[in-house]
Amino acid sequence: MFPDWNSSLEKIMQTMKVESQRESTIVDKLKNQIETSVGNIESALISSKNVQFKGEKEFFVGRKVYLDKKIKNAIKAPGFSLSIVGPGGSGKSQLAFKAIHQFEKEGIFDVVIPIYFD
Amino acid sequence: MAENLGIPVDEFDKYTNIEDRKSIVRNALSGKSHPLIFADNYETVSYELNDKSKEPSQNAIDISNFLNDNTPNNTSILLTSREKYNNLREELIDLEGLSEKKSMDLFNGLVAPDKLLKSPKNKKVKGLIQNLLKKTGGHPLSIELIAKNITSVEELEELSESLGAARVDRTASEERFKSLEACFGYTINKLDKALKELLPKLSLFKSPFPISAATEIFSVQKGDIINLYNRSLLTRIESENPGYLLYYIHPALRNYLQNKSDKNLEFEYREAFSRYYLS
Repeated sequence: MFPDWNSSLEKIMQTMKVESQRESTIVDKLKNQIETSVGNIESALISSKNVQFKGEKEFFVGRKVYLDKKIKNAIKAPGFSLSIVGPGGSGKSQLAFKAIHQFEKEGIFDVVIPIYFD
Repeated sequence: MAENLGIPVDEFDKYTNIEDRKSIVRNALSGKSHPLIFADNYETVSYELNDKSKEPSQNAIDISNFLNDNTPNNTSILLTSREKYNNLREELIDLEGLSEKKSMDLFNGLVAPDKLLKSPKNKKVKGLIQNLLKKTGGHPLSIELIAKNITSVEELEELSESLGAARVDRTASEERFKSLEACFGYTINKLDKALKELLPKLSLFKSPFPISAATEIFSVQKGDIINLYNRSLLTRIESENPGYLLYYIHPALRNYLQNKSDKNLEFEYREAFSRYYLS
């Protein structure tokens, strides 16, 4: 039922390695685009961080209060622990994906390590 | 990652002890500014730890201990969970259903581009859809199932009837979940016999599966899997190999199917699974 503990740790390591590689890619992109404009560089940085999560759906509506207030207030400082709870099918994962993308763009996290249970 | 943190990879592989590996991960996390560990469907762990009738697995204990006591102060944790008691001293956000307007937006975004159903002009049809969505309590998966499976006014009326008379409060978790189960029941009932029989079998997959696994193990056609996907009874993800797709059943639907199934399907297909995965 669970991912094996050792393989989970390896997954974390691999994810962090990918993150580091992603960061290198961003730097390369920045070098290539430095002659264009600051705006282009910024958007390249943002698009590089937009990785799709497992099961992420393309269509998402609403949840503005959660994204802009409830979750945002809870995640201000490093070291927080937060659970999004609700019955199956209520959109917990989709909301979490959306929130992570949004807060990554805002520079709140420098690395995200997803672990999928079930 | 070992390379980027200055740890030789072959050196890391030498650490087979779990505590050593934890320590390496902890140090790696400490080297970041604000890492986020995102644990999706964490109820899988919490249910085990909260079940007083039996001993939890060592994996569940290790995972909980690591998240509780071994992550550095700079590391944040975000969980999604059906269980409210996750024992991580975490803040809870209870997710409500969508508002009536957003429910309609979701429906219109997912329904087939059909003049009758998508952003309907006809007042009767619009009223029927709005009424139906109220009966889901704005539950996204229920709305998705309705949008992907309803094709006529008659079906709208039929499903509305099977969901009962009352609208569901979007803060009422249990009622929303009952409504979701009614949507599962209605949608599955509408399937033809072959798909109706196939769906519980697919719930035997414990992780995302390639279409070839389903066609070989259960002797079905690719079209059957695509059909279930088009009805939102299966979800599709891209695997680590780009362009290679994997399918899986939403955990809520899997639980529903397993509760309804009275056959010992796992036993029946054990050999076929072994043949496929060992070949």
